Order: sequence, then C-alpha cells, then structure tokens
Amino acid sequence: MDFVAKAVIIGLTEQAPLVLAAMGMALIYNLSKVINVAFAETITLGAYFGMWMNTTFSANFYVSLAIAGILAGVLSCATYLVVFRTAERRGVGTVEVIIISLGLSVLLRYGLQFVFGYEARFYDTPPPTFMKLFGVGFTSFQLTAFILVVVLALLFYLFVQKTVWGRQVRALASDADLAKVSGINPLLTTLVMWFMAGAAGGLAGAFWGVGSSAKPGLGWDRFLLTLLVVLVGGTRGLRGVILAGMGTGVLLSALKLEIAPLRAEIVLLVAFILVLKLRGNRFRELAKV
Amino acid sequence: MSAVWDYLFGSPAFLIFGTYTLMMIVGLGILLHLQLGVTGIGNFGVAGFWGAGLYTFGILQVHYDVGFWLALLAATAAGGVLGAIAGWVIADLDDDGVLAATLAVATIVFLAIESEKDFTGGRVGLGTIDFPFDIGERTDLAWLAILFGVTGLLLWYARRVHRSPYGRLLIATGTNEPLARSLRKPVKRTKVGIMALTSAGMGALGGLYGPIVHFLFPTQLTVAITVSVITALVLGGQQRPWGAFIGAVLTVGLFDIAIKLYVPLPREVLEHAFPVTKQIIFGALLIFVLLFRPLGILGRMRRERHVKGLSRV
Repeated sequence: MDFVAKAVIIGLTEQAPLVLAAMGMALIYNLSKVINVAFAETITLGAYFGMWMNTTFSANFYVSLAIAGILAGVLSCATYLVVFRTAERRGVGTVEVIIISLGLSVLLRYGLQFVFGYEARFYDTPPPTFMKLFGVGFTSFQLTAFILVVVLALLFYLFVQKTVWGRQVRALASDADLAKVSGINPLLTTLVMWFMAGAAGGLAGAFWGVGSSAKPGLGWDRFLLTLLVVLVGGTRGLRGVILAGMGTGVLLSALKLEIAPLRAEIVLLVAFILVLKLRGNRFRELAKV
Repeated sequence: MSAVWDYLFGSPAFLIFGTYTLMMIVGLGILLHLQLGVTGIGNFGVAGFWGAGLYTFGILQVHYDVGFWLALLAATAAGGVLGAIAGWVIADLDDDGVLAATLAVATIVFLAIESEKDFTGGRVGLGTIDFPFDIGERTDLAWLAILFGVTGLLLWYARRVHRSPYGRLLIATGTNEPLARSLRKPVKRTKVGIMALTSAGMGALGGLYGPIVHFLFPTQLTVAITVSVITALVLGGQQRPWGAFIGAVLTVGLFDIAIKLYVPLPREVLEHAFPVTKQIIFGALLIFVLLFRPLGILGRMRRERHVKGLSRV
C-alpha cells in the first residue's frame, strides 16, 4: 500500500505536465494525421516564454503561465501556416512531413538560443513549502501544478468533446470533405485546434520549466515519452491519452522506486515498444479520429 | 607553392579529423539511403545503431583487450542485431510508429550507456582506444584511406543494389507496400533484412570511429548525428546512392572543414554561435529542400527517369 501510494503521488505530481503535452500533441495528430516533431519546441518555448515574462517583466507565475500558453499557441499557429500548410498544399508525403517537422524542431531549438542565450535560465519564484501525504514528500508548487494540470486537462477535454469548435475539429478530422460541405471553415477550425495544441504544449513546458529550468533541450528530452503516450493512448481518444499519460507517470515512478532511474526509463521504453508492436496498425485509423 | 600548401593544409590534423567526420556522415548517409530512399523506412535513430557499434567496439577493446578485427566484428553484429530487432518491431507499423520505435531504440542505447557505468564509463568516458597499427606520423592518414575505402565499398554496394533483383524488391516495398504484399513479396522479411544489414553497417562505422576519437562519451551520440546524416541525404537526394556524398560535402564539408579551417573565426564564436548557426541552417535546409525540391539536388532514381523517358516515347 505504501509503495502504491508513493508511486501514485510521485508519478502524478512529477509527470502531470506530460498529460497536458500529450493532449496537445494528440490534437494535432488527430487533425493533421502526422506527428509534429517540432511540438517538442512548442514545449521548450512555453518554458522560455514563461521565464521571460516572469523575470523580465516581473509577472507573477500564474500571469506568466497564461501568457506562455497564449504565445506558444500563436507560435504553433505560425508554424502551421508557414510550414505545415505549405507541405499539405504541395502534397508532401508522411515521412517527409515528419522530416520537415524535425528540421523545424532543430531550427527552433537552436534559433531560440540566439534570443534567450545558450545557458539554462531560471524562473524567479518564491521558494516552495514542503508537504507530506502518506509519508511522501512533495512541494507546494508540485501540488499546485498537479491541480492546475487536472483542471486544464479537463477544460481541454470538455472543449474538444462538448463545444461547437470541438465538434468542428472532430468533424474535420473524421472527414475533411464532408466537413467543408457542411459549412465548416477548415482554416479557422484548424487554426483554433493548432492554437489549443500549442497552448497545451506551452503550458506543459512552463510547468516543467519552473520545476527545473528553461533550457534548449527541455522539450526534446520529453518528446519521445509524449509521443509514445499519444500513440498508445490515442487509440482511445483524448480520454485514452489522459489515462496513458497518468499511467506512464505512475509506472515510471514505481519503477524508479525499485530500480535505478535510468534503467527505469529503459524498462518503460521497452514496454512501450512492445505495446506498439503488439498493437500494430490494428487501431491506427481509430487513433486518428 | 609552399605558401599555398600551408594555406590549404596548414592544420593537417584538423583537416584529417574534419575529413573523418565527413566520411562517417557519407557512410551513414549511404546506409540511410538504402533504408529511407529505397525501402521507405524513416530511421530517426541512426545515432543509436552507430553508437551501439561504437561502444561495443570500445568496451571490448578497453575492458577485455579483444583484438581489432574481433571487436569490429562484434560492433557490426551489435548494430545488426539491434537493426533486426528494430526491423521486427517496425515491420507492420505506419510511419508514426517507425519514428517512435527508431527514436526509442536510439534513446535506449543512450540511456544504457549512461546507466551501465561499469562497462561504458558513463559520462566520465571510456578509453583509450588506439589505431590497430602504428606507422608513425602517417597512421591517421592511413586510417583516413581505410575510411575512404569503406565508404567507397558502401557506395559500390548501394549502386549494385539499385540494379539487382533485391533492389527491385526493396523499391517495391518502399514505393507501394500493399501492392508488394498482394504480389506475395516477402515485405516483412525484406524490412527486417534491410534494417539488420544496414544497421550492421552503421555498427561497423561506429567501430571504425572509435580509434579516431580515442575516448568515448555519451554526448557523441546525440540527435545531432542523425540530423547531420538526414540533412546530407535529403539535400543530396535521398533516392540516389551519391546523394549522401553530395549532401555531406555541401553541409559537413562546408561547416566542419572549409569554414573551420579557412575562415578565421574568434574562439567564442567557434564554441557557441558557429555550431548553433550550423544546426539552424541544417534545420532550414531540411524544410526548404523537402518543400520545394523533395528529391534533393540529384533528383529521382535513375530507374524512374529511365521508365519516364520510355513512357514519353
């Protein structure tokens, strides 16, 4: 019981932003049917935007967080308009789009170093207070981040499932031609979705950034895990992504309690690969709707 | 004459190391060409397969005093086994799954090297690894000649594959997998086979890189290697065996040899701004080439051009 409680509390508090990031990536995957590697940099830039607002303009963390989300959303839309829409119009193949997104990822990751500097940058936040639950220690900040992530994930979920915009996004993802015939504006709907996805990624990055630091490799270091959560959990829609994200956090912390952290990550990756292999392409179409 | 020689080859060690890197990228690019350009497998974990060979070679040489040839064979086998496993995993996955699986393989190799410090030295490093022969000052030049030979062999093999029945099978698998399957072509076996074969080549190149750097660090296996190889191949032409060579000369050759050797950049620029600018240009190249000239400088396969020409007649 003690072990389970520890695994759950540590997993949920430490990996909460993973759920947000995975939801953002899944939104793009659902609509564009392609994995956007540059999403890693949306996460990274979210962390930098938050840090920039927090340290340069002395904004408190929550204001920085909101602005980081908005700016990351705008950046996400810009990447769609400049790069991915052009690729779509030119009929570029799936592998090539993935490589293009890798190029964009590299471009942004190194480009941001000219703007924000080469070294890691830190948020200026008051020191957190330490708490304990079931004998497991965590910071007030981790608790706040967890609660905020749960609320935001719920809002994202409700937006996609219950609002008119969400229905339009899902309609466009299911059958673009039919959606257009029924009066949906594909560009506007796509931009709304890319904005939401970017905002989710940016917020995740800001949470990760304030927990450690804003550095160029922040998003890339977490990209693979986010991608695997989307590919495995995405077969069950956004609910599946949320569950897979939380499950991954808990499993990773459980493994880290038993074995060395790096070996724990290896075991988790091997488990994900096996799931991908066993699942094959059977749920592929389901995953994209 | 002497002044010209001094200007061109004033820092021979630097020039030789830059050419080592160039040859390594060309070799990896030719192997990636067989995976991506011919068979349609987007391998985003090149650094992992290469690193598996590099570290297998290093561990055997440093810890077990294994001879050069046996260590190189083991490095090749390590890359091959890893490639066969990766091929088995991705055989029935779509492109997104292939991206995730190959990236995961590279990450696992990286994490294993960082975690198994007793064998790999972790972040402290593993060394030293020496050349298998010593002919004095010309040892590094002789090693460079060997690398040229290996790269030439890979190029020769890639060209042969294009003209062979096996090459047609690979092209059929890459161009239209469902059709190849319906024609009873062994698509799954083909993918596993080509991944094992080409990854074995990447492992061998990793083994050959060991004596060049003498000391191995996990930071040598970052995604930058994969990005350099993909950029070179995409720029030169992913469907052509010479594509990786042309692309590598224009990217790695320009940045890691020409500019570093002949442009007097201040030290602080060389340390930070230069590598960052190089990566920015690589990223921009990937985007622009694939958007506006998807088949790179050399264009489509010779076979396709020939068929297109016939259809016009």
